[in-house]
Amino acid sequence: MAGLKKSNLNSIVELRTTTDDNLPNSLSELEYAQSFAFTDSQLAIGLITVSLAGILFLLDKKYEFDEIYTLTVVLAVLYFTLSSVLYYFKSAKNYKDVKYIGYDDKGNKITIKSYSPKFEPLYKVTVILGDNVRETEFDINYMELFDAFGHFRQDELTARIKKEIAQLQKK
Amino acid sequence: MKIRQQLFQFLNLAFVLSSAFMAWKSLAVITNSKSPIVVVLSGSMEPAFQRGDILFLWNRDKMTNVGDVVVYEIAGKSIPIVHRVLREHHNAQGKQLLLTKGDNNAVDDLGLYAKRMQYLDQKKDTIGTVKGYLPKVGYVTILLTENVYFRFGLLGLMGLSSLFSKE
Amino acid sequence: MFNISNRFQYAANQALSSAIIISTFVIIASIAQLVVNNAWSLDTTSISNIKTQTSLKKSFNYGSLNRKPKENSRIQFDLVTDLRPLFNWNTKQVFVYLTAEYPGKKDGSSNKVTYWDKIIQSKDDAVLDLSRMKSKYSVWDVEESFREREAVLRLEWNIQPWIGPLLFGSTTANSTFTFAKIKEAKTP
Repeated sequence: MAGLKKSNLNSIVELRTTTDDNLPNSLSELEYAQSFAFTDSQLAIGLITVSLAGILFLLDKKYEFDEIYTLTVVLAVLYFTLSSVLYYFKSAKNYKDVKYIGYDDKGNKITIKSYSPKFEPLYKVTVILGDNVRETEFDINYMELFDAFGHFRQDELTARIKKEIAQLQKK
Repeated sequence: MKIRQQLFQFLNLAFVLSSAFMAWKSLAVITNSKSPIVVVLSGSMEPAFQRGDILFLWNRDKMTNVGDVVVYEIAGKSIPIVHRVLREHHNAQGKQLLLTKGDNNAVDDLGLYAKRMQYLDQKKDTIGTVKGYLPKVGYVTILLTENVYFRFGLLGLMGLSSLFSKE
Repeated sequence: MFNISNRFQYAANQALSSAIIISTFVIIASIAQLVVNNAWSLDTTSISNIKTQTSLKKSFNYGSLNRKPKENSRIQFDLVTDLRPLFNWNTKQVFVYLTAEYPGKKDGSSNKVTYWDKIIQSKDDAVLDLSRMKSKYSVWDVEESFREREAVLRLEWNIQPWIGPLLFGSTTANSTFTFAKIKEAKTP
Protein backbone atom coordinates (compact mmCIF):
# COMPACT_ATOMS: atom_id res chain seq x y z
CA MET A 1 0.00 0.00 0.00
CA ALA A 2 2.61 2.48 1.10
CA GLY A 3 5.02 1.18 -1.49
CA LEU A 4 2.93 2.58 -4.33
CA LYS A 5 3.23 6.15 -3.16
CA LYS A 6 6.31 8.08 -4.18
CA SER A 7 7.89 10.64 -1.89
CA ASN A 8 9.95 13.62 -2.95
CA LEU A 9 13.49 12.61 -1.97
CA ASN A 10 14.56 16.26 -1.72
CA SER A 11 12.07 17.19 0.96
CA ILE A 12 13.08 16.10 4.45
CA VAL A 13 9.65 17.13 5.75
CA GLU A 14 7.92 14.83 3.29
CA LEU A 15 10.27 11.92 4.03
CA ARG A 16 9.69 12.31 7.75
CA THR A 17 5.91 12.56 7.36
CA THR A 18 5.81 9.42 5.22
CA THR A 19 7.96 7.55 7.73
CA ASP A 20 5.83 8.76 10.66
CA ASP A 21 2.69 7.63 8.81
CA ASN A 22 4.13 4.16 8.32
CA LEU A 23 5.45 3.74 11.86
CA PRO A 24 2.26 2.03 13.13
CA ASN A 25 2.49 -0.55 10.30
CA SER A 26 5.93 -1.64 11.47
CA LEU A 27 4.83 -1.89 15.07
CA SER A 28 1.75 -3.89 14.28
CA GLU A 29 4.03 -6.30 12.39
CA LEU A 30 6.01 -6.52 15.63
CA GLU A 31 2.69 -7.39 17.36
CA TYR A 32 2.12 -4.20 19.24
CA ALA A 33 -1.37 -2.73 19.50
CA GLN A 34 -1.55 1.03 19.17
CA SER A 35 -3.13 3.00 22.01
CA PHE A 36 -4.89 6.21 21.12
CA ALA A 37 -5.59 7.40 24.67
CA PHE A 38 -2.97 10.17 24.55
CA THR A 39 -3.90 11.30 21.04
CA ASP A 40 -7.59 11.23 21.80
CA SER A 41 -7.28 13.27 24.97
CA GLN A 42 -5.28 15.85 23.05
CA LEU A 43 -7.96 15.91 20.38
CA ALA A 44 -10.69 16.25 22.98
CA ILE A 45 -8.99 19.16 24.73
CA GLY A 46 -8.39 20.78 21.35
CA LEU A 47 -12.01 20.44 20.27
CA ILE A 48 -13.30 21.78 23.59
CA THR A 49 -10.93 24.75 23.35
CA VAL A 50 -11.98 25.59 19.82
CA SER A 51 -15.66 25.25 20.65
CA LEU A 52 -15.25 27.69 23.59
CA ALA A 53 -14.14 30.27 21.02
CA GLY A 54 -17.06 29.27 18.80
CA ILE A 55 -19.55 29.75 21.64
CA LEU A 56 -18.10 33.19 22.43
CA PHE A 57 -18.31 34.10 18.76
CA LEU A 58 -22.02 33.27 18.65
CA LEU A 59 -22.74 35.04 21.95
CA ASP A 60 -20.83 38.04 20.66
CA LYS A 61 -23.13 38.29 17.66
CA LYS A 62 -26.22 38.06 19.81
CA TYR A 63 -25.43 40.21 22.84
CA GLU A 64 -23.79 43.54 23.62
CA PHE A 65 -20.26 43.60 25.03
CA ASP A 66 -21.38 44.90 28.45
CA GLU A 67 -24.06 42.22 28.87
CA ILE A 68 -21.67 39.28 28.56
CA TYR A 69 -18.54 40.87 30.03
CA THR A 70 -18.09 38.38 32.90
CA LEU A 71 -18.82 35.41 30.66
CA THR A 72 -16.26 36.69 28.16
CA VAL A 73 -13.63 36.86 30.90
CA VAL A 74 -14.40 33.29 32.00
CA LEU A 75 -14.32 31.92 28.45
CA ALA A 76 -11.09 33.76 27.60
CA VAL A 77 -9.34 32.45 30.74
CA LEU A 78 -10.52 28.88 30.02
CA TYR A 79 -9.46 29.16 26.38
CA PHE A 80 -5.95 30.27 27.19
CA THR A 81 -5.56 27.76 30.04
CA LEU A 82 -6.54 24.84 27.80
CA SER A 83 -4.37 26.18 24.97
CA SER A 84 -1.36 26.24 27.27
CA VAL A 85 -2.10 22.67 28.39
CA LEU A 86 -2.06 21.63 24.73
CA TYR A 87 1.07 23.65 24.14
CA TYR A 88 2.67 21.83 27.07
CA PHE A 89 1.87 18.45 25.49
CA LYS A 90 3.34 19.64 22.21
CA SER A 91 6.56 21.05 23.61
CA ALA A 92 7.42 19.55 27.02
CA LYS A 93 10.33 17.13 26.94
CA ASN A 94 8.27 14.09 27.95
CA TYR A 95 5.58 14.58 25.33
CA LYS A 96 7.38 16.28 22.49
CA ASP A 97 7.57 14.42 19.16
CA VAL A 98 5.68 11.38 20.48
CA LYS A 99 4.50 9.56 17.35
CA TYR A 100 3.40 6.21 18.67
CA ILE A 101 2.21 4.68 21.93
CA GLY A 102 1.29 1.00 22.05
CA TYR A 103 1.23 -2.14 24.17
CA ASP A 104 2.33 -5.71 23.44
CA ASP A 105 0.12 -8.71 24.38
CA LYS A 106 1.63 -8.80 27.89
CA GLY A 107 0.66 -5.16 28.40
CA ASN A 108 4.16 -3.71 28.19
CA LYS A 109 4.14 -0.14 27.02
CA ILE A 110 6.22 1.17 24.13
CA THR A 111 6.60 4.85 23.19
CA ILE A 112 8.27 6.09 20.03
CA LYS A 113 9.39 9.63 19.37
CA SER A 114 10.89 10.92 16.17
CA TYR A 115 12.09 14.07 14.48
CA SER A 116 14.44 15.19 11.71
CA PRO A 117 17.05 17.92 11.85
CA LYS A 118 16.42 20.63 9.27
CA PHE A 119 19.35 20.00 6.96
CA GLU A 120 20.31 16.36 7.57
CA PRO A 121 18.50 13.44 5.96
CA LEU A 122 18.23 11.58 9.26
CA TYR A 123 15.23 10.04 10.99
CA LYS A 124 16.09 10.42 14.67
CA VAL A 125 14.17 7.92 16.75
CA THR A 126 13.78 7.35 20.48
CA VAL A 127 12.28 4.07 21.67
CA ILE A 128 11.09 3.93 25.27
CA LEU A 129 9.99 0.71 26.95
CA GLY A 130 7.65 0.94 29.93
CA ASP A 131 7.31 4.28 31.65
CA ASN A 132 10.81 5.61 31.09
CA VAL A 133 12.29 2.31 32.26
CA ARG A 134 14.61 1.74 29.33
CA GLU A 135 15.20 3.93 26.36
CA THR A 136 17.45 4.16 23.35
CA GLU A 137 18.12 6.76 20.71
CA PHE A 138 19.26 6.02 17.19
CA ASP A 139 19.37 7.56 13.71
CA ILE A 140 18.21 6.02 10.45
CA ASN A 141 19.40 7.58 7.22
CA TYR A 142 16.51 8.18 4.85
CA MET A 143 18.69 6.60 2.12
CA GLU A 144 17.99 3.28 3.85
CA LEU A 145 14.25 3.89 4.26
CA PHE A 146 13.53 4.95 0.68
CA ASP A 147 14.67 3.51 -2.62
CA ALA A 148 15.99 5.59 -5.50
CA PHE A 149 12.46 6.22 -6.81
CA GLY A 150 11.12 7.49 -3.48
CA HIS A 151 9.20 4.35 -2.54
CA PHE A 152 9.06 3.68 1.18
CA ARG A 153 10.69 0.46 2.37
CA GLN A 154 8.56 -0.77 5.26
CA ASP A 155 10.69 -3.87 5.90
CA GLU A 156 13.81 -1.80 6.59
CA LEU A 157 12.02 0.21 9.24
CA THR A 158 10.45 -2.86 10.83
CA ALA A 159 13.79 -4.69 10.91
CA ARG A 160 15.62 -1.75 12.44
CA ILE A 161 13.02 -1.16 15.17
CA LYS A 162 12.88 -4.88 15.92
CA LYS A 163 16.65 -4.95 16.38
CA GLU A 164 16.65 -1.92 18.69
CA ILE A 165 13.82 -3.34 20.82
CA ALA A 166 15.60 -6.63 21.15
CA GLN A 167 18.79 -4.90 22.30
CA LEU A 168 16.83 -2.80 24.77
CA GLN A 169 15.16 -5.82 26.27
CA LYS A 170 18.53 -7.50 26.83
CA LYS A 171 19.74 -4.64 29.00
CA MET B 1 -6.38 6.66 12.35
CA LYS B 2 -7.05 8.70 9.23
CA ILE B 3 -9.89 10.52 10.94
CA ARG B 4 -7.57 11.54 13.78
CA GLN B 5 -5.17 13.07 11.30
CA GLN B 6 -7.98 14.97 9.66
CA LEU B 7 -9.23 16.19 13.03
CA PHE B 8 -5.74 17.43 13.89
CA GLN B 9 -5.58 19.29 10.60
CA PHE B 10 -8.98 20.82 11.28
CA LEU B 11 -7.83 21.80 14.79
CA ASN B 12 -4.72 23.50 13.42
CA LEU B 13 -6.83 25.67 11.16
CA ALA B 14 -9.41 26.30 13.87
CA PHE B 15 -6.67 27.38 16.27
CA VAL B 16 -5.35 29.97 13.82
CA LEU B 17 -8.80 31.54 13.51
CA SER B 18 -9.93 31.12 17.11
CA SER B 19 -6.74 32.40 18.70
CA ALA B 20 -6.96 35.60 16.64
CA PHE B 21 -10.57 36.04 17.75
CA MET B 22 -9.79 35.26 21.41
CA ALA B 23 -6.80 37.63 21.41
CA TRP B 24 -9.10 40.41 20.18
CA LYS B 25 -11.70 39.57 22.84
CA SER B 26 -9.06 39.46 25.58
CA LEU B 27 -7.85 42.90 24.53
CA ALA B 28 -11.47 44.07 24.69
CA VAL B 29 -11.77 42.71 28.23
CA ILE B 30 -8.45 44.21 29.36
CA THR B 31 -9.28 47.67 27.98
CA ASN B 32 -12.98 47.31 28.87
CA SER B 33 -13.78 48.54 25.38
CA LYS B 34 -15.88 46.56 22.93
CA SER B 35 -13.67 47.81 20.13
CA PRO B 36 -10.18 48.43 21.56
CA ILE B 37 -8.55 49.22 18.22
CA VAL B 38 -10.33 51.41 15.67
CA VAL B 39 -9.52 52.65 12.19
CA VAL B 40 -10.22 56.33 11.47
CA LEU B 41 -12.84 56.62 8.73
CA SER B 42 -13.50 60.35 8.49
CA GLY B 43 -11.45 63.51 8.23
CA SER B 44 -13.16 65.37 11.06
CA MET B 45 -10.07 65.20 13.29
CA GLU B 46 -7.55 66.23 10.63
CA PRO B 47 -4.71 66.98 10.71
CA ALA B 48 -4.31 64.94 13.92
CA PHE B 49 -5.92 61.78 12.51
CA GLN B 50 -6.36 60.93 8.86
CA ARG B 51 -8.39 58.22 7.20
CA GLY B 52 -6.74 54.85 7.72
CA ASP B 53 -4.87 55.73 10.92
CA ILE B 54 -5.14 53.24 13.78
CA LEU B 55 -6.14 54.30 17.28
CA PHE B 56 -5.69 52.30 20.48
CA LEU B 57 -8.44 52.84 23.05
CA TRP B 58 -8.69 52.50 26.82
CA ASN B 59 -12.00 52.54 28.64
CA ARG B 60 -11.11 52.13 32.32
CA ASP B 61 -10.63 55.82 33.17
CA LYS B 62 -13.26 56.95 35.72
CA MET B 63 -13.17 60.49 34.34
CA THR B 64 -12.32 61.88 30.95
CA ASN B 65 -10.37 65.13 30.72
CA VAL B 66 -11.06 68.12 28.55
CA GLY B 67 -8.72 67.76 25.56
CA ASP B 68 -8.89 63.94 25.53
CA VAL B 69 -9.96 62.35 22.28
CA VAL B 70 -12.84 59.91 22.82
CA VAL B 71 -14.65 57.43 20.61
CA TYR B 72 -18.39 57.45 21.14
CA GLU B 73 -21.43 55.77 19.72
CA ILE B 74 -24.93 57.18 19.87
CA ALA B 75 -27.61 54.54 20.49
CA GLY B 76 -29.40 53.91 17.20
CA LYS B 77 -26.55 55.30 15.10
CA SER B 78 -24.07 52.53 14.52
CA ILE B 79 -21.06 54.54 13.34
CA PRO B 80 -18.51 55.27 16.07
CA ILE B 81 -17.19 58.86 16.07
CA VAL B 82 -13.71 59.98 17.15
CA HIS B 83 -13.79 63.55 18.56
CA ARG B 84 -12.13 65.72 21.19
CA VAL B 85 -13.75 66.61 24.53
CA LEU B 86 -14.57 70.32 24.65
CA ARG B 87 -16.31 70.48 28.05
CA GLU B 88 -16.91 68.15 30.96
CA HIS B 89 -19.23 68.40 33.92
CA HIS B 90 -19.12 65.84 36.71
CA ASN B 91 -20.52 65.32 40.19
CA ALA B 92 -19.28 63.54 43.29
CA GLN B 93 -21.08 60.32 42.33
CA GLY B 94 -18.85 59.99 39.25
CA LYS B 95 -21.50 60.82 36.68
CA GLN B 96 -19.84 62.81 33.92
CA LEU B 97 -21.31 64.70 30.99
CA LEU B 98 -19.21 65.51 27.93
CA LEU B 99 -19.52 67.85 24.98
CA THR B 100 -17.30 66.92 22.04
CA LYS B 101 -16.09 68.50 18.81
CA GLY B 102 -14.00 67.42 15.85
CA ASP B 103 -10.82 69.50 15.45
CA ASN B 104 -11.59 69.97 11.78
CA ASN B 105 -15.28 70.80 12.29
CA ALA B 106 -16.52 74.36 12.69
CA VAL B 107 -19.07 73.57 15.38
CA ASP B 108 -19.48 71.20 18.31
CA ASP B 109 -21.23 67.82 18.06
CA LEU B 110 -24.73 68.85 19.24
CA GLY B 111 -26.00 68.16 15.72
CA LEU B 112 -24.51 64.66 15.75
CA TYR B 113 -26.12 63.57 19.01
CA ALA B 114 -29.62 62.18 19.27
CA LYS B 115 -32.53 64.57 19.20
CA ARG B 116 -32.70 66.85 22.26
CA MET B 117 -29.52 65.22 23.59
CA GLN B 118 -27.18 67.90 24.99
CA TYR B 119 -24.31 65.87 26.39
CA LEU B 120 -22.65 62.47 26.11
CA ASP B 121 -22.78 60.25 29.18
CA GLN B 122 -19.14 59.27 29.80
CA LYS B 123 -20.10 55.78 31.05
CA LYS B 124 -22.85 54.95 28.62
CA ASP B 125 -21.89 56.53 25.33
CA THR B 126 -18.11 56.37 25.05
CA ILE B 127 -16.32 53.28 23.77
CA GLY B 128 -12.94 54.51 24.94
CA THR B 129 -10.32 57.23 25.12
CA VAL B 130 -7.59 57.36 22.48
CA LYS B 131 -4.23 56.54 24.08
CA GLY B 132 -2.02 55.43 21.19
CA TYR B 133 -1.64 56.20 17.53
CA LEU B 134 -0.31 54.30 14.52
CA PRO B 135 -0.36 56.06 11.16
CA LYS B 136 -1.84 54.71 7.91
CA VAL B 137 -1.66 50.96 8.68
CA GLY B 138 -5.43 50.65 8.87
CA TYR B 139 -5.84 51.74 5.28
CA VAL B 140 -5.79 48.04 4.32
CA THR B 141 -9.16 47.53 6.03
CA ILE B 142 -10.61 50.56 4.25
CA LEU B 143 -9.41 49.11 0.94
CA LEU B 144 -10.87 45.73 1.91
CA THR B 145 -14.31 47.11 2.70
CA GLU B 146 -14.51 49.75 -0.02
CA ASN B 147 -12.54 48.42 -2.97
CA VAL B 148 -13.89 45.30 -4.68
CA TYR B 149 -10.80 44.71 -6.87
CA PHE B 150 -8.47 44.84 -3.90
CA ARG B 151 -10.64 42.38 -1.96
CA PHE B 152 -10.82 39.80 -4.76
CA GLY B 153 -7.14 40.31 -5.60
CA LEU B 154 -6.14 39.54 -2.03
CA LEU B 155 -8.50 36.56 -1.81
CA GLY B 156 -7.04 35.23 -5.06
CA LEU B 157 -3.49 35.61 -3.79
CA MET B 158 -4.36 33.77 -0.57
CA GLY B 159 -5.98 30.98 -2.56
CA LEU B 160 -2.97 30.65 -4.85
CA SER B 161 -0.49 30.59 -1.97
CA SER B 162 -2.46 27.84 -0.21
CA LEU B 163 -2.33 25.82 -3.43
CA PHE B 164 1.43 26.12 -3.70
CA SER B 165 2.38 25.63 -0.07
CA LYS B 166 2.69 22.22 1.51
CA GLU B 167 2.41 21.56 5.22
CA MET C 1 13.22 23.75 1.08
CA PHE C 2 12.04 27.33 0.60
CA ASN C 3 9.08 28.13 -1.58
CA ILE C 4 7.48 31.48 -2.36
CA SER C 5 5.10 31.57 0.58
CA ASN C 6 7.88 30.60 3.02
CA ARG C 7 10.04 33.41 1.74
CA PHE C 8 7.15 35.84 1.89
CA GLN C 9 6.32 34.83 5.46
CA TYR C 10 9.94 35.19 6.48
CA ALA C 11 10.19 38.63 4.89
CA ALA C 12 6.91 39.74 6.48
CA ASN C 13 8.06 38.57 9.92
CA GLN C 14 11.36 40.38 9.56
CA ALA C 15 9.61 43.58 8.43
CA LEU C 16 7.12 43.42 11.30
CA SER C 17 9.69 42.83 14.02
CA SER C 18 12.03 45.54 12.77
CA ALA C 19 9.10 47.97 12.52
CA ILE C 20 8.19 47.23 16.15
CA ILE C 21 11.78 47.72 17.33
CA ILE C 22 12.20 50.98 15.41
CA SER C 23 8.90 52.47 16.59
CA THR C 24 9.61 51.52 20.22
CA PHE C 25 12.93 53.32 19.92
CA VAL C 26 11.29 56.39 18.31
CA ILE C 27 8.65 56.58 21.07
CA ILE C 28 11.08 56.20 23.97
CA ALA C 29 13.64 58.61 22.51
CA SER C 30 11.08 61.31 21.70
CA ILE C 31 9.49 61.16 25.16
CA ALA C 32 12.94 61.29 26.76
CA GLN C 33 13.66 64.40 24.71
CA LEU C 34 10.45 66.04 25.95
CA VAL C 35 11.42 65.29 29.56
CA VAL C 36 14.87 66.81 28.98
CA ASN C 37 13.20 69.91 27.51
CA ASN C 38 10.98 70.27 30.62
CA ALA C 39 7.84 69.93 28.52
CA TRP C 40 5.73 69.18 31.59
CA SER C 41 6.70 72.33 33.46
CA LEU C 42 6.65 75.08 30.83
CA ASP C 43 6.77 78.39 32.70
CA THR C 44 6.90 80.85 29.82
CA THR C 45 3.15 81.35 29.67
CA SER C 46 1.09 84.27 30.89
CA ILE C 47 -2.67 84.75 30.60
CA SER C 48 -3.73 88.28 31.46
CA ASN C 49 -6.15 91.14 30.86
CA ILE C 50 -9.19 88.86 31.07
CA LYS C 51 -12.58 90.41 30.34
CA THR C 52 -15.79 88.43 30.53
CA GLN C 53 -19.23 88.91 29.13
CA THR C 54 -22.42 86.94 29.66
CA SER C 55 -25.53 86.98 27.51
CA LEU C 56 -28.78 85.03 27.19
CA LYS C 57 -29.43 82.68 24.28
CA LYS C 58 -32.53 80.79 23.27
CA SER C 59 -31.19 78.50 20.54
CA PHE C 60 -30.55 74.76 20.98
CA ASN C 61 -27.11 75.37 19.47
CA TYR C 62 -26.32 77.61 22.47
CA GLY C 63 -27.39 75.12 25.10
CA SER C 64 -31.03 76.10 25.40
CA LEU C 65 -33.81 73.50 25.61
CA ASN C 66 -37.38 74.48 24.75
CA ARG C 67 -36.31 78.08 24.13
CA LYS C 68 -35.64 78.55 27.81
CA PRO C 69 -33.08 81.40 28.16
CA LYS C 70 -29.55 80.06 28.77
CA GLU C 71 -26.54 82.03 29.95
CA ASN C 72 -23.63 82.03 27.51
CA SER C 73 -20.19 83.29 28.45
CA ARG C 74 -17.45 84.75 26.29
CA ILE C 75 -14.07 86.12 27.32
CA GLN C 76 -11.28 88.23 25.94
CA PHE C 77 -7.67 87.66 26.95
CA ASP C 78 -4.00 88.35 26.32
CA LEU C 79 -1.81 85.29 25.94
CA VAL C 80 1.96 84.95 25.73
CA THR C 81 3.54 81.52 25.46
CA ASP C 82 6.48 79.65 23.99
CA LEU C 83 5.58 76.06 23.12
CA ARG C 84 8.72 75.27 21.11
CA PRO C 85 9.96 72.67 23.66
CA LEU C 86 6.95 70.52 22.71
CA PHE C 87 8.23 70.07 19.18
CA ASN C 88 10.65 67.34 18.21
CA TRP C 89 10.99 64.85 15.37
CA ASN C 90 8.01 62.78 16.55
CA THR C 91 5.61 65.72 16.98
CA LYS C 92 2.97 65.83 14.28
CA GLN C 93 1.00 68.67 15.80
CA VAL C 94 0.35 70.38 19.11
CA PHE C 95 -3.20 71.16 20.10
CA VAL C 96 -3.27 74.02 22.65
CA TYR C 97 -6.45 74.88 24.48
CA LEU C 98 -7.47 77.43 27.06
CA THR C 99 -9.67 75.87 29.73
CA ALA C 100 -11.67 77.32 32.60
CA GLU C 101 -12.39 75.19 35.65
CA TYR C 102 -15.08 76.12 38.17
CA PRO C 103 -17.00 74.34 40.93
CA GLY C 104 -20.49 72.91 40.54
CA LYS C 105 -23.52 73.17 42.79
CA LYS C 106 -22.69 70.39 45.23
CA ASP C 107 -19.46 69.33 46.91
CA GLY C 108 -17.32 67.18 44.67
CA SER C 109 -18.90 68.39 41.47
CA SER C 110 -16.80 70.33 39.03
CA ASN C 111 -16.83 71.72 35.51
CA LYS C 112 -14.19 72.37 32.89
CA VAL C 113 -14.84 74.16 29.63
CA THR C 114 -12.76 75.22 26.62
CA TYR C 115 -12.84 78.87 25.55
CA TRP C 116 -10.23 78.82 22.86
CA ASP C 117 -7.99 76.34 21.06
CA LYS C 118 -5.46 76.23 18.26
CA ILE C 119 -3.67 73.61 16.19
CA ILE C 120 0.05 74.29 15.80
CA GLN C 121 1.79 72.24 13.14
CA SER C 122 5.31 73.60 13.16
CA LYS C 123 7.88 74.81 15.63
CA ASP C 124 8.03 78.16 13.80
CA ASP C 125 4.44 78.88 14.82
CA ALA C 126 4.89 77.77 18.41
CA VAL C 127 5.57 81.19 19.93
CA LEU C 128 2.26 82.92 20.59
CA ASP C 129 1.73 86.54 21.52
CA LEU C 130 -1.97 87.32 21.36
CA SER C 131 -3.55 90.47 22.64
CA ARG C 132 -7.25 91.09 23.11
CA MET C 133 -7.96 87.66 21.70
CA LYS C 134 -11.64 86.75 21.65
CA SER C 135 -12.76 83.34 22.85
CA LYS C 136 -13.49 80.90 20.04
CA TYR C 137 -16.51 79.32 21.74
CA SER C 138 -19.63 80.62 23.37
CA VAL C 139 -19.75 78.65 26.61
CA TRP C 140 -22.79 77.58 28.60
CA ASP C 141 -23.04 75.58 31.80
CA VAL C 142 -25.18 72.57 32.77
CA GLU C 143 -27.00 74.99 35.06
CA GLU C 144 -29.01 77.90 33.73
CA SER C 145 -26.68 80.51 35.22
CA PHE C 146 -22.97 80.92 35.93
CA ARG C 147 -23.92 82.55 39.25
CA GLU C 148 -20.83 84.80 39.21
CA ARG C 149 -18.65 81.92 40.24
CA GLU C 150 -14.88 82.13 40.08
CA ALA C 151 -13.06 80.13 37.38
CA VAL C 152 -9.40 79.21 36.89
CA LEU C 153 -7.95 79.61 33.40
CA ARG C 154 -5.18 77.28 32.25
CA LEU C 155 -3.34 76.75 29.01
CA GLU C 156 -3.14 73.02 28.29
CA TRP C 157 -1.58 71.11 25.45
CA ASN C 158 -1.81 67.78 23.65
CA ILE C 159 1.00 66.45 21.52
CA GLN C 160 -0.17 64.36 18.60
CA PRO C 161 2.83 62.19 17.63
CA TRP C 162 3.69 60.70 14.25
CA ILE C 163 3.61 57.38 16.08
CA GLY C 164 3.01 56.40 19.71
CA PRO C 165 0.99 57.62 22.69
CA LEU C 166 -0.94 60.91 22.78
CA LEU C 167 0.71 63.16 25.37
CA PHE C 168 -1.05 65.71 27.55
CA GLY C 169 0.15 68.46 29.84
CA SER C 170 -0.50 71.91 31.21
CA THR C 171 1.64 75.03 31.39
CA THR C 172 2.28 76.36 34.88
CA ALA C 173 0.36 79.58 34.29
CA ASN C 174 -3.08 80.03 35.79
CA SER C 175 -5.23 83.07 36.28
CA THR C 176 -8.69 83.49 37.72
CA PHE C 177 -11.74 85.46 36.67
CA THR C 178 -15.31 85.78 37.81
CA PHE C 179 -18.18 85.14 35.43
CA ALA C 180 -19.83 88.45 34.60
CA LYS C 181 -23.43 89.25 35.43
CA ILE C 182 -25.73 89.27 32.48
CA LYS C 183 -25.24 92.12 30.05
CA GLU C 184 -23.33 94.37 32.40
CA ALA C 185 -20.01 93.28 31.00
CA LYS C 186 -16.40 94.08 30.15
CA THR C 187 -14.68 94.31 33.56
CA PRO C 188 -14.28 91.33 35.88
